Amino acid sequence: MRNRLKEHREAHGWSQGELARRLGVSRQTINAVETDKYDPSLPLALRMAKLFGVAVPDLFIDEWEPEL
Amino acid sequence: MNVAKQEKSLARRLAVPVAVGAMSGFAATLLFLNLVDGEGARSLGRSREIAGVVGVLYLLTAIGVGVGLASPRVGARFLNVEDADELREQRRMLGYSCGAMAALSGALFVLVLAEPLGPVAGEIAAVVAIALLLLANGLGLLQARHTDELQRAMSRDSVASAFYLLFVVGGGWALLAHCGLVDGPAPLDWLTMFAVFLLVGCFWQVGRRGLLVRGPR
Repeated sequence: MRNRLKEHREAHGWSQGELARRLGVSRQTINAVETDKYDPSLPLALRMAKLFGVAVPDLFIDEWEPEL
Repeated sequence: MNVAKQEKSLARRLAVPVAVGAMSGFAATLLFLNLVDGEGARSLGRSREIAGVVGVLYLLTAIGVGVGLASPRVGARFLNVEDADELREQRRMLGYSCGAMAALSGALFVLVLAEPLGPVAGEIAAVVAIALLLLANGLGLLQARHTDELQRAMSRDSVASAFYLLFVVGGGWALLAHCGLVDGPAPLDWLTMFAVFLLVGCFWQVGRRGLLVRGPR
């Protein structure tokens, strides 16, 4: 799933290590999420959104649309 | 640095360590096989030789991680990490992992050398192997306390892959043996399959998720 994590992280001037420290995960996890290799759990996605002061859909882009 | 350059530089950075790892694995395997099948030594048989080779692979992996922990700057050159700091940050988790791999390797070695074909008494081999396997499991539990959700997901997927491989290969082998078409797996073959498929499962999942290269997929 595409995401804007790197964009938000850089806007705050944080390194991957700094963001990892704030979220309590490894730098490897931040790198994997930013490069679309890992979709975080819902609790981690919520924490990321809360940290950046945005809604989850602003951070993670799901292109699925319901059929009408 | 753009993505193509980043991937190219990482591939270049990994080329030498992968080649060195393959060559040292090959050399260690040859050395082990020469030791157990050398002149004057009784042949230990195919099952024990394969178990020993798997033990060598675990030992080499444990040594590689151990060297990386002892000297993160050196380790960052050949381990699949972003930089030396990543090794420092994950020091405890990797330390437990290194110990667990060394213990598993030791268990396989002592079983290879057990009676009746090896020099170690059966009772002693059983006690030592059980103690080492319990140690490996204990260290694995301690390691789990220092993992985050990506590492836990990787661990779950690796174990699932190992199970499927064991089901297909071990189960297929047992099925053919049950039908009288081939000789059945020896008890040590099952232990070897558990160990080797766990290692294969780990590499499979790391590769499948694209974590061997750091750029986007």
